[in-house]
Order: sequence, then C-alpha cells, then structure tokens
Amino acid sequence: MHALIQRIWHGFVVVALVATATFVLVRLAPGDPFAAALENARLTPALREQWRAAYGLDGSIGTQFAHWIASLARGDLGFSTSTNQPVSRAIAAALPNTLLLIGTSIVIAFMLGIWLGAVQAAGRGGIVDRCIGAMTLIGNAVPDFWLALVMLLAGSYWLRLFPVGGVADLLLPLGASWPVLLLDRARHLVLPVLTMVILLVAPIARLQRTALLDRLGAEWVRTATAKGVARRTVFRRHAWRTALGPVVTMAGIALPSLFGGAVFIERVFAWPGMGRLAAEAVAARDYHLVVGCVLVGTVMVVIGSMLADHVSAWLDPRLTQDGFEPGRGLA
Amino acid sequence: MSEPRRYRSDWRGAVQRLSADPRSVVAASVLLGLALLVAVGPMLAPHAPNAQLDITRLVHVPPSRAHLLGTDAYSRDVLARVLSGGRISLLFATSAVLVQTIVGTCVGLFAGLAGHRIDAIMMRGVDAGASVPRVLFLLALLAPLPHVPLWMLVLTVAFTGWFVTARLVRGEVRAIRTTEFVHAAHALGASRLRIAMRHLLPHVLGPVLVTSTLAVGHVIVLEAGLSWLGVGVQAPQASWGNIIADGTEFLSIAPWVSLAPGFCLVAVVLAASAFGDGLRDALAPGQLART
Repeated sequence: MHALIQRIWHGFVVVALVATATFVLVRLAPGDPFAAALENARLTPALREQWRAAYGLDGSIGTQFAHWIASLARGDLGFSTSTNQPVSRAIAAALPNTLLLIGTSIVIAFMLGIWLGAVQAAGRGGIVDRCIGAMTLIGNAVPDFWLALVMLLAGSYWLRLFPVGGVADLLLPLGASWPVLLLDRARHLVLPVLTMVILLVAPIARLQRTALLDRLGAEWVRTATAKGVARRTVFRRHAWRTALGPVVTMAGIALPSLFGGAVFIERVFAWPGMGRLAAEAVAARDYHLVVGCVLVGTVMVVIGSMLADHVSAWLDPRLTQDGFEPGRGLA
Repeated sequence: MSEPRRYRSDWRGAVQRLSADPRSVVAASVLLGLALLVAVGPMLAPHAPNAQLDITRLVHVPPSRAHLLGTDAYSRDVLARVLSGGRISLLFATSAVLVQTIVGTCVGLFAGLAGHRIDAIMMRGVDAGASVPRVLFLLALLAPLPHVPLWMLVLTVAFTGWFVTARLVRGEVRAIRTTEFVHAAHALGASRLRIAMRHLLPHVLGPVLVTSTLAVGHVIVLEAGLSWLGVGVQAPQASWGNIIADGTEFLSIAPWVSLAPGFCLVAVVLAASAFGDGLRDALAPGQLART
C-alpha cells in the first residue's frame, strides 16, 4: 500500500514537472497568440493588451503560472484561442478519437504480438521463427509517418478499399441506422489501426520471444516438467504467465511514443484526435491548448505505466516478494 | 598509465565475435556503404539536388534511365536529392546521438555516484523527461521559431534524448559502486572523478554503445518526422524527411518521391538495429539478449 502511494506521488511529481516545463517553454519563443495569429495592422496595441488580459496571457510568466494553477485547481484548463472554446471542451472532443485509435491498436497488437512471440519461442530456430523474426525486424525499422503514407497509398489509392481519412463519412444520411454507422466507423479505422498495429506488434513479439525463452530455461519450469506436468501446461501456466510481465511493462514504457506516433498517423489520415489537436495548437501558438494537450497526454502516460507495473507484478509473483520495487519493473 | 589487460582482451574478443557474426557484418557493410554513397554520391550525381531542370516538361517524371528515381513537383531529380538529403540525415543522426550519449553518460555517472537524495531528485527529472512525448515536445519547442540553424536542431534533439542512457548508466553504476575493486580504488586514494572515469566508465561502455547504436535508428526517424512536419531541416536543403514531405501532397500521382527516401530510412534503421543487436550479443556472450 505504501508503495502505491509513493508511486502515485512520483507520478504526480512527473506530471507537475512536465506541465511546468511546457508552460514556460511555449512562452519563451517570440510572439504569442495575439501577435502571430492576427496579422491585422488595424488592431491597436491597447486592444491586444486587453485581449491578453482577458485570456490570462498578460504579466510575467510567474504571474501567468500562478493564475493558471489557480484556475487548474478549479478544474479549468483555460480558454483555447485558436478553436475558440474552453480547452477542456476541445480535449474532450479529441481524446475519445485518440483513445479509440490507440486502444484498438494496443489490444490487437498485444494479442497478435504475444501469439507470434509464443509461436516463435515454441519452434525456436525453425523456419517459422526466422520468418516471423525477419518480419518483426522490418516492422521495427519502418518510420511511423512513412508507413502511414504507404498504407494510405496502398489501401486508398491503389486498392481503393478504404476511405482516405477522417472518422466518418460526411455524406451518410442523417438518420442512418447504427449498423451502417458502426461499419462506416470501422472502415475509417482500418488503415490507421493497421499502421499502428504493424508498428506496435514488432517490439512486442520480439520481447515476448526473448522473455519466453528465458523463462523456459528457468528452474521452476524444469521443476514443473520434472514433476510430470504436461508440456502444454508447463508452457502456459509456468513459463508464459511470467513471461508476460516484461511485455506488459513495455506497454507502459511505449505509451509516450504511441502518443508521438499518433501525431503522425492522425495527420496522415486526418483523424481528429489529440495528436492533431496538439500539432494545430502548436502551429497557432494556442498556449493554453498546448499545455492542456501535453498535460492530458502525460497523465495518460503516467497512469498507463502505473497500471502496467501493477499488472506485471500480479503476473509474476516474484516481483512482489523480496522487497522488489514494483515501480522499477524488470531490468 | 597502461589499461588493465582484462578490458582490452574483452574488447578484442567482442570484435572477434562481432566479425564472426554474419548478421552484424552485413549490417555494418550496409551502414558503411550508405555512408560512402551519400558522402561521394552528390559529387557523382548528374544533377544538382536543388536544380529545377525544366518546370514545364520534367515535372513528376516517373523513374526512368535519365532520372533513376524520377523527378518531383519542381522538376528536381529525386536521386540527387536523396543522396544530398542522406548526407544531412546521417550526419544529423550521428552527431545528435553522440551528444545525447555523452550527456546521458555524464548525468548517469553523476547520479549513480551521488548521495541518495540527489540521486532521487535527478531520477525524478529523468522520469519526467522520459514520459514526455518527444515529438510533441520538440514540435512545441521548434514550431514558433522562424529559422533554426542545423546545429541548434541537433542540440535540441540531443537534449531531449539522453534520458534512457542516463537511466542505464546510473543503474549500472549503482550496481557496481559497492564492489571490491571500487572500494580498493577508493582506499588507494583515487578521487571520485578518477573512479568514475577509469573504473566505472569502462564497465558501462558496452551497454552504452549498444543503446547508442540503436538510438541512431530512432534519431534518424525522429529527424525525418520533424522535417516531414516542417519543423526540422528547412527547404531547399533536402533531408530524407522533407523529401517525403514534398511527395506527400502528390502521393497519388507521384508516389516515387515519397517512397525512395522512405526505403533508405528503413535500410538505415534496419542495419543500425541489427548491428546493435549483434554488438549486444558480442559484448555479452552466452547471455540472452536483455530486454
């Protein structure tokens, strides 16, 4: 219990550091939302000042930060100047799209990756192991945005199977029944999810294979075999379960890069999620929205890695014994 | 001042094992070949990378004998651009990785040798740095700046990438700082700096080298991604990322513009990761690759 509280405290410190750094850094660059976005000579400096004051963007960085913290304590992330709505509303509209994309991809990639890694480990050194190994090596090496472009080129332009982008077909009749809507959503999901799955599945399969081979040589696995436990049961109950630990830990570590990858994939497929929102906020120098996006993204990452640590501790009982810190995961 | 023999033979053995591993040899040859190609290629290429050959008749020419990789929307020869861009991309990645490795190793050594409190504070900082989506952070930092010189770009990328190395080095140092040979050095009156440089550094160099090799692949993709988003290497200077960006708009009519540099990126990352894996196996023989 103490470890959990400590872990939450650490997570809080990380989020606070990241938010503070982003808050300061976006303001260090020359210009602000009212200097850059509105290239209108007829706007008087006095009016610009008035606007800055209205949006909490006047005064020194210190006073702005104090102001921001005070509103954050009330659950207010500030007002987004580029989308003309509260930051919380802009994020609330984008977050579900990103979670749908990342969530679907993670579930598929983990099931596929764990299965592939297990197949490889079971037939170590064989032709299947080598083929999957070569595929995962290539999957590891492909740049995310380029793969998204290739997917778009192949799936939408050459094969003409899937829409070129967006979350839904705008030309669907308003009263379309839910199976039609669901199918339409699924069709839009295929290419971005496929891109993300290819990127994700490679490291998962590689790690699963390594961890499983390591566990198959462990003493308790040999003991189980010696006791006369069936081969399949040894593989599943004794080796596989503990070998899932590192894979789950990796999921936690991989989250930041997933959000980074979302920036590219969402851009290629015009997917209105957090990555695209953040990229547009940066381009428009929408300070509150940038900080809000980074804040929400970091909170997600921290929660994800905490969950991953606790799941891997549950999977491998050794991790909770001998005073092992759940926070560190496997080396 | 002679090096302890044990390390030297360790490294010699690693090199021997490395050159006996076909995968590592192929990977190293691909990397060296590509480096050589982009080093001398631009001098041999028949066209200049930024030359607009004929903006009425030579726009979007598919790959042919005159233009092996075709031409782009401005009638520039894609092969010449890929060669010239590769120079920037490879140089960028190697220098950024060099800087981030040095910074990460120094921070890791310091934190590993520091007291419990300083170590804890530094590691919270590293945790924070490692949990930020790197692309997003760099985008936020670079987008508002009008023109970032290349060396600044390299430093910016490097200073967002040293966390993994720092964590690795710190962990290794924590593990070996209470061993006998460190105590012995301390008892003989060696300073902290000397212990760090002469006794701890050689121990962590192997894992650091492996991480850095793998990081070359990450950074070259990161640079390409930033350039693709328009905040990395600026036009007209080609880099693999911004050539892909040039082709993105015309993906359906001239896919070769984006495809060619992408395949180069895949080749470099593939070779770097294969070489990194080989290096890891060569440095720790008989051990399973660590996760």
